[in-house]
Amino acid sequence: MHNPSTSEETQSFSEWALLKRLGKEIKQHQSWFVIAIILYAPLLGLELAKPLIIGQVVDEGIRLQSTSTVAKWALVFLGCVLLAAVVRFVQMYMLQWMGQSAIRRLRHRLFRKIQGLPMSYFDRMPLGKVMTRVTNDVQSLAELFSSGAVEIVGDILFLCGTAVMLLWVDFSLFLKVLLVAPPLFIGLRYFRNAARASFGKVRAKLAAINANVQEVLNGVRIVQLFNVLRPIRDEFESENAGYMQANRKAIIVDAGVYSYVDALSTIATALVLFFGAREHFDGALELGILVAFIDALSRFFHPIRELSQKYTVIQRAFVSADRVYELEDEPSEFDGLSGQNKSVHFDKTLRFQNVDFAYDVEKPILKDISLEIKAGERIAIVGRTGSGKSTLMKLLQGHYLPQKGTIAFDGVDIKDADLMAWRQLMAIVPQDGYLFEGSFRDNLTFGRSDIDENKLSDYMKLCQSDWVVERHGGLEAQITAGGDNLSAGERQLIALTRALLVEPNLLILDEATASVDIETERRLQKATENALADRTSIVVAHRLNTIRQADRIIVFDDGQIVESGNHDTLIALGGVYANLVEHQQSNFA
Amino acid sequence: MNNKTNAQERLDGLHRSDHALAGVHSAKGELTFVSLFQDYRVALVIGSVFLLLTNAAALSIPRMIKHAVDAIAEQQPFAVMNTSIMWIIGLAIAGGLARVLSRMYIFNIGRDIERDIRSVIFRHVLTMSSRFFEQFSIGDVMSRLTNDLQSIRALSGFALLNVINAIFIFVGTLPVLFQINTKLTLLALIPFPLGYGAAQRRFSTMENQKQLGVLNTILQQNLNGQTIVRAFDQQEPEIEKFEVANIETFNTAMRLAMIRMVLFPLMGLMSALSISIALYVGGTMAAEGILTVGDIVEFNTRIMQLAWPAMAGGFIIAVYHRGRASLARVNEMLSMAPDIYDGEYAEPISGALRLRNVSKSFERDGHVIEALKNISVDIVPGEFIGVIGTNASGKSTLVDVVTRQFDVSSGEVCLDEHGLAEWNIGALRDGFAVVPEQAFLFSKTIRENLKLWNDAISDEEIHDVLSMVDLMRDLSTFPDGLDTMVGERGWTLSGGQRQRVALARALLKNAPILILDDALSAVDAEVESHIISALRDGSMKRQNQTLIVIAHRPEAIRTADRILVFRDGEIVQTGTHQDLASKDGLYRQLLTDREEEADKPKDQDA
Repeated sequence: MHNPSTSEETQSFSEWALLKRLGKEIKQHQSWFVIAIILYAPLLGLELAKPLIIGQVVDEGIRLQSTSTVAKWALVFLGCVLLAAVVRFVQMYMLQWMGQSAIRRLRHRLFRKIQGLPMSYFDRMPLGKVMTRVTNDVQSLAELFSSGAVEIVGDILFLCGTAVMLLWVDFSLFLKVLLVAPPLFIGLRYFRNAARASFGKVRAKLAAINANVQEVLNGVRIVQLFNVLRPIRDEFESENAGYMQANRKAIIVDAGVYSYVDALSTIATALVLFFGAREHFDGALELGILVAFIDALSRFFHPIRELSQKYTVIQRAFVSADRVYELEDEPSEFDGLSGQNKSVHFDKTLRFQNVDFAYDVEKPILKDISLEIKAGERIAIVGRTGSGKSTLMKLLQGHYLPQKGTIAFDGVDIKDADLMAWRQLMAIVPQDGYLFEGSFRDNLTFGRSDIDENKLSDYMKLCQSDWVVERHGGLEAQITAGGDNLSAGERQLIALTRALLVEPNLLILDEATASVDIETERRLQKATENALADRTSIVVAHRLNTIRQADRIIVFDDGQIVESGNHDTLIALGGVYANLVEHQQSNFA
Repeated sequence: MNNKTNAQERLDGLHRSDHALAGVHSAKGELTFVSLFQDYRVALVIGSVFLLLTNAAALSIPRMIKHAVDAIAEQQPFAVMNTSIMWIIGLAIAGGLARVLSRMYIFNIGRDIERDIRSVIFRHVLTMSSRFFEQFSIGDVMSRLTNDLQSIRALSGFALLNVINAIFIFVGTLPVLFQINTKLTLLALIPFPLGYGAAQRRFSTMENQKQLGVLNTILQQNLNGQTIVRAFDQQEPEIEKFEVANIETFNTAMRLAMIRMVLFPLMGLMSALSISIALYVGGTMAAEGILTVGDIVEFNTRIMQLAWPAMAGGFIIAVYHRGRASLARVNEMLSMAPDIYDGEYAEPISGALRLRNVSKSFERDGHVIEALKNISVDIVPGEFIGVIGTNASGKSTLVDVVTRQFDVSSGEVCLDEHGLAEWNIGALRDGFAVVPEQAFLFSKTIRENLKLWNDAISDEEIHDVLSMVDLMRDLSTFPDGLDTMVGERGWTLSGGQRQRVALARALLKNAPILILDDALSAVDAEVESHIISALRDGSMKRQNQTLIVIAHRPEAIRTADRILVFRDGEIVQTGTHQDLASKDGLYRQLLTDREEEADKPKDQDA
């Protein structure tokens, strides 16, 4: 669990495998894709016609001194260009539409995937990284589709087309041009590796700088109070300078590859002149053809230059695709279950039997927990931080499966149950009372679309959240992300209402430890009392008041249940519980 | 590299100490492109020379090709043509080298300027108080540091190169075109303004960017609330919500693509039109014998060379506008003056704090909030002061005022008989160790978080303090002990653990004045009472340390030498627990409220 080796630097898929998968993304629009590719034929034809037309102007028009022929071919040239623009637009539109649709579907699939990932995935993968995969990585694939992919396919086709044409115009001349091929390939290979290395470095350094700056901004008060501006600044400056250095290298590589291809293309032209002149004198080559050949040759190098420039875009897209598909291939939380999908009820008992659990094999969190809870019972779980009580609640909610033992409602084990139905049996009030951005109404009725006003206001009164809502300007007032504009106590009141409105068979309440002001505290007490009355509940409790009213108190210590019973019995026992209570009371004496 | 750049130096000059930053808001301090480029004038000249050479080579090559073609046409000896060919190869190599060098010099300027501005912003922001962050959220600062910096860089590297390039190419090409034929040149240039205008139409990526922001927010909320989403079985509605935004994102992306799809072919048309004209007019002239075939070939090549810089001109204007707007946004942030300017006084601190008629008011949403009203209090070194009160009664503002996060509106705060304004801010802050309610830790190891760059702190001291705050047991469960990384990339600490680390950090600072600002809210009662009693009996305090504890629960400050009771920014009561508990007043009320809660169940049990 610690320092997860998530493949940030290593590639999980080969480039070929990635290409195949990316190809699958547009399979749905296969016919469109084929049409778009076929449209390259007229485009290529029109593009290649240009030098031929120029050749015609020279050979037929100028040589024969016919201005009308010149005019004719100039018009033909213009017509070709206009037609090409129209075809190009149609083609780009199709490719764009396909690419963007593919991205939309990919985003959708990833979002759906996330909803079904086991919670343990989020333990080893920080949320920021999951975010990056769905946003930045998908976006860089989108960019590949929206600009790169179209041109890349086009460049490759043009390259092949021009090669064919050059061969057709003058086979032997083209073969001689190929003299520049070996240095071209060797050079491109070298630059490819250099680009990959420098690009990776730039990216990593930028990410580090931004993460660092964001963190320092979050902690600016601490930075100032602890008077550590200087070391913080020094660290930042060295990162900042390192990033610039990495960029400088990338600039050289980038300029290098362009210049290299450019120079080679000029040298190739020189070769054509050198050999072409000899063929011309031998009468094997007309001057117009030679001119056209030189012109076509520059077109031949154009896509090579473009492709070498786009290498970074392609590389980035591959890195992104790799990470996106890695996320997509994660097993879902349901994959671990046997798939019996039994329906599940809670009329009689909830039973934990010999449950063992550890996030990390070497550090067991729960050891041989056995516990039976009857419908209608009110249970309080107490114990110091890290004793395993929250983990037990996570297991109950099916976020993790026990390594050993069973958890069963009315005899149906979680491994055999329909997990959705399982979760519908319970509602939870989390410790931080997590709320979503949106109105109070949206948050309160979260999970239910069929709640009428009366019921809503009844439950709000019951849970004292009418008081919170009123303080903040009514049901339609907005809650900011995470509920930051509410106090911890207020959040818990809203979360409690939200949970009760689902009318669960079992209420799980994780009491907040945060201290709240007196007024809110009083309301929380009242709300908790109301909520727990006549309801099956498990409370991970911190408030003595809540604990005392429980039918049964389960005392956790070091991953085990060490005591169990009601308040008076446990006090009389004089064990861990009595000790805990004494500590709490000493503060009030 | 070691030499400070102009922008940094100017900024340093503005720091009277490490902290105070004066005058950036003045006209002089504002960043302008002229001031930013000042350090890179030499690089700019060298880069331009190489660019000139690149262009000279690029412009000469077609001429050489023309010579070669003409030589072939005129059936001249091979030697003549071979010379041309040698020239072509030589120019290609020299041009390539010059191109690399020109890009290195000019693009590096953009990167250097990017580094300078990032550094200036970073330094500036670190001196800012909460007032700044009310105006500029962290997300906003980050966006200026990333997006705006990027557009400034684009302007100072890419655009710069293209501007110089376009000038060179036009200056180099136009005379040659006119020399070939004036009429032909004028006619062929007609379509240029058209393409220029098309490129000028700025296609805005704003709509798409904004929509992506909406999508990201939905995703982020969903991720943060993942357990709740599952507990309430809301996966499908969440997916639906996401899909609505997803479709809208698709639409904006397509709209953006549409503009691009229309714009680029349009600009392509421009050069095609130009070539068509050149073909017709030039071809006619050649047919009439006014021009040679070589002239036509050269003319066409050169017209094509003009096409890109002409198109680029349109883009550059867009880049220029964006870059200027971005620089303005950066300046807006830099223009906020710090709230405090510090003095020279820097002596060891004994810890005597005196507040005289201190008031502090803020303006928020148009109305004035009086956070502190006429507060007067004397705190002697070694005293244990408890602070309690109703919500938002000014308790935390008190901390900000004595640590000089901002200055008071009226009245005076003295530390060791010197007004806070006289103090060097670093020396002043060295006098305080504060444990804030929000325990912020860096994404570093626990050891680094505890030491905070103070290498004088030994592991032994760390262990001592950790056992005081009851963290030793927790430490043994961390994978790498003190070397465990915390934060985003490492081990996740519970709220209580974070607070205890923050407390340990403050204790290790060993400052004359220790302030706990509701610092134990997430710690269980057992641990809290343990820590408080340790603070109480002095086993956790350094000799004569002044201790200020701000608390929600009265029990935390029962043993204080003096308790200050706050209500609505005023101190309404002062005294020991015994004094106050026996008198009618807010303190007793707070106390009975707590006791009621603690006692109520007892009553019910009875």
